Amino acid sequence: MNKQIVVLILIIVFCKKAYAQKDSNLSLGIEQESELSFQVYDSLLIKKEYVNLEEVKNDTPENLMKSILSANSQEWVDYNTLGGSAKSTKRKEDYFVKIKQMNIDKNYIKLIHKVSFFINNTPTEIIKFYFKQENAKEVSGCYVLQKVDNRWYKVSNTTTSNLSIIIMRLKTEILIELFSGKASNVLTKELYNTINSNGYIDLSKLDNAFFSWYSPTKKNDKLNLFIDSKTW
Amino acid sequence: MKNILILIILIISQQSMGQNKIVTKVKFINVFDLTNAYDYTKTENDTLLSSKSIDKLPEKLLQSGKKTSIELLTKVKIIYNNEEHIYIKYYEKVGDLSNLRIIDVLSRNGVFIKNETANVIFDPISRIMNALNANMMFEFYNKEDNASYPEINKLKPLVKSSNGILDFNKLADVAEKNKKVLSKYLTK
Repeated sequence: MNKQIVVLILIIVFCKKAYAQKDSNLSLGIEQESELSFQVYDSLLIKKEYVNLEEVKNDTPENLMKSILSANSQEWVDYNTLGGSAKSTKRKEDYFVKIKQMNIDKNYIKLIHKVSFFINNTPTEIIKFYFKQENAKEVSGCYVLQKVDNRWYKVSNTTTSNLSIIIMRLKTEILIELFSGKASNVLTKELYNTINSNGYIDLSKLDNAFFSWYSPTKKNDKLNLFIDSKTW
Repeated sequence: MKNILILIILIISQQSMGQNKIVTKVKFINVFDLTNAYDYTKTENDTLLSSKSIDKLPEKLLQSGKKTSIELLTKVKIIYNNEEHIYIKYYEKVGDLSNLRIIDVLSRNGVFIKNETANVIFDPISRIMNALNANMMFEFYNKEDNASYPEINKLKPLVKSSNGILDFNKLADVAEKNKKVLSKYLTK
């Protein structure tokens, strides 16, 4: 009996400690302002173009996308990623074999739209795309890219994690209406008024509005109107 | 005539790019990649600075002469712009004199360096740590109000963004302005 009590106390102490450690992270940040531009791609396809890492410059966001699709080694994946090996996605050898054998005309990326702005004076782009794959369903995606020392990198950070999901899921025409302030119907106008703050689009408010369509109850009227049904 | 033709082509091409591009202004919270806040316990104060592992800890930079004693209060770790800063609030006691100090330690691959270069986060974090401990920072951050901290509950809406992120500069302003009324929570 005493042994059971000791075990129980140990479990409680361990759980409390684990909880406290997990709970010791705060979400804290600095408010910033930036000009933002929104562009729609006109059927721009990104195909595997490079064979060797030596050919790669990553001098534009779109060339970085080509490099990401061409990367056939972990060294190359690291080269494309801000922070290199410490921050890159770790791929297995069979992934690189598939890249090397990939049919260029049956596996490619179709760029949809992008936003460009500055975080801490660093040029930042969020690009929405569909990845067309041979013998598989087309999937949507979004990359966050930043330009550091004249080279573009794929990045992953807390500031853009929710925004990239929003930029991927919202329909292109809805983003056009929100960023131009020319809403075509009542619900879009209502959303624009919610996120507009003294002439600025408040991305924190957009984040809050977006997740309120999913929880605590699903707002199907808004989801049907705003969300691109082809995205995950 | 040829120049005019080129000019017309340039204008047309610029217009076509312009039509495809919408420019607006946005504001957003640039979230630190990690913010970790912690209040030292009494046991840590009794043992940490004299422990064998002190050389592997940022607190080692606080060790000074025989006449100086240190009371550790709060530690805040912030990763910003790919740099890891560790801020430690402590009392430095020399004889009967006790001074509240905040040190900015840069962590680079496990090496700790006292940072004395000016940066945009030192002033706000100093103002926050001068008025709050880690526990109070969490009371500002937590979604649910805690009935034991009515003054913080009143101030919370002033320092949080719509999506629940603590606005660093607003928290510094509010903490500094309400330092007196909030001081009762420092010992909780």
